[in-house]
Amino acid sequence: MSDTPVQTSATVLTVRQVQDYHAITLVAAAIAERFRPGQFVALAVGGAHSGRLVRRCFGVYEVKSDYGGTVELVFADTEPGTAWLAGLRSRDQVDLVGPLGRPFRLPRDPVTCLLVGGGPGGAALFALADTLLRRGCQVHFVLGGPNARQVFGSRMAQRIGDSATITTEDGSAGEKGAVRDVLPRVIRETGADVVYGCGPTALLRSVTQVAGEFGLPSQVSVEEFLQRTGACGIGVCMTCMLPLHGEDGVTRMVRACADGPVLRGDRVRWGDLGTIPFDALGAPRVLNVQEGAGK
Amino acid sequence: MSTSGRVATRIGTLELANPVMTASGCGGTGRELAPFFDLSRLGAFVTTSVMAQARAGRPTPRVAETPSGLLTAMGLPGPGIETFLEHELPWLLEQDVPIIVSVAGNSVEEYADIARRLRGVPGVAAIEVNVACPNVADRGLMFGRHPGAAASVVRAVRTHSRPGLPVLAKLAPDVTDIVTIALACVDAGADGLTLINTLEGMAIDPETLRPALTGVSGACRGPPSARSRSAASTRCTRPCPARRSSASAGSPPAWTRWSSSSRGRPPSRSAPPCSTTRPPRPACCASWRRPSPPAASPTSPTRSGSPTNPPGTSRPRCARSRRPPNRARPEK
Repeated sequence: MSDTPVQTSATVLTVRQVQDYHAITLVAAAIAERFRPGQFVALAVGGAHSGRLVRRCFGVYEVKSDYGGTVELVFADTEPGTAWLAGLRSRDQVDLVGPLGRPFRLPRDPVTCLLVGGGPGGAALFALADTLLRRGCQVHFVLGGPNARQVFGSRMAQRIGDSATITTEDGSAGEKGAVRDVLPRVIRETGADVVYGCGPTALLRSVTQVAGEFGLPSQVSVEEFLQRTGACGIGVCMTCMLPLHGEDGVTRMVRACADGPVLRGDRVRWGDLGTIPFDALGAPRVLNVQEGAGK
Repeated sequence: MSTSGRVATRIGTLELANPVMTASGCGGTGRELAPFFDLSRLGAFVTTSVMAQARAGRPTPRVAETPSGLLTAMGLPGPGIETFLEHELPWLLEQDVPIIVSVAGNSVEEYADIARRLRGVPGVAAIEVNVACPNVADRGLMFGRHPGAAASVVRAVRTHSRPGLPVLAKLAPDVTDIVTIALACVDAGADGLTLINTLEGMAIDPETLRPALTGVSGACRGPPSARSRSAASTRCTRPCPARRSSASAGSPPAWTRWSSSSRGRPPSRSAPPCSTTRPPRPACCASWRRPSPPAASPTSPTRSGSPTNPPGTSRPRCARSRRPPNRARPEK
């Protein structure tokens, strides 16, 4: 079967610095041929005898057919595990599982798509953009970040996209402000039919909200949430749970890795992320809650 | 398999082709592992502990990576026995591997109820009784910490499950004397013992000075925990007279590293008001105080995101620290 994930020992081709992030290219033919935009890979860090048992989950920036098939990931160096990854050299071996999770659902007709990204999460949108462009869709980008060095892929977006809007909080590139400020205007100008998002949770929340105001469907990849909370990537460990509002009106705790990372934005209960909402299925039933007892 | 004869294992009446089993919780529902290897190569598959009702478990973060291993605080998430029997077990039973159902509960009646529900299910190879659950009737003290309580749940499962179905007792390690509890479980009708449940651990985030886990303390997995497991096994198997037969579950497979649930506590029903809801602290952190909470939003009282006081750990130690009943040890 070609849609089942595989575990493989991948050879590092290159590790390089891109703006404030690192890009690592791995030779993993089996993963490259199975990959669909939106899916992610889970890497074991620290080597074979490491005490760091948590796998790091990263969205895939690009898949190429060189050397039988390569997978390129973009990540921020934020903790010892990613520092280990950034310190790898070519020909090192990394234990890799992928492709994992559900991919972005693609429109059947050539429609206008708005791709909204933030931080290193924006990298996962480029594989999606390639697929959408091949299907004849119009692709518009909105990328944001704190400063110019932390907006990944702004040049690439300008090159391949029909339009690209960049926002930075300090005004060092593009418009000064947050993604949320420009989204309504971009949606109006481009006439977008569908919104895709990938990046920090706060960004996804505002993407969903603005898309909802315009009555547009939104698909968001909660990859950043998965990176923070996930531990296995394959759905066994149950650590990346988030509350999702079901078709039947029942909120269930679902796994960001196995049931995501791509979710319908309007289904995610963004305000309750990181908690078990009291009305979720299986939520702890606390009896005798006294008013004002929290004082 | 040509080697199956040499590594074939027996636990009571349960015969396994080899001694490798998944630790409860570490195999998920089985479907997650199926893409990576053939489940029928296992000696047996142990399910995640199943309870009577669906449980969402604890809020995130549920996992904390430390240099000494992985800490997890899951809170026994699971779909409940109803959904388990309807959706998860039928798939597992098709996999040509003996299925051991791990059961958990908050009362003896809950264990008995689950055992009764499993009675009519053909194909279940054995039941594993996870005694590391808080007993609501005993103010949340873990069943597995007291020989009498552990024996009562094992006896309940034994009585209500199919006659002849092997019952294994999965023991908790953080106890005064695991041998006494093991003997009590064997006397209550356990055909085997599973050693051991996870060890208690805690990590403090040095930046926020708060516990790294929402559950405050969690289960320690990884290299140090594996060492203690083998130590506990040696300690326990020696004096155990094994009325029927007693066997440990074999060393956990390597991908036990991918961690999972099997431990946790529900919020105490009789939780004191929030102002006194402090997480339990190890003695070395006696002066540590939780920073005063931010101004509570109007919706906050109903949220379960706030750390609840894990029952059984915050109360005075002396309440249960009396010596376990004296028992003549065969070797002395």
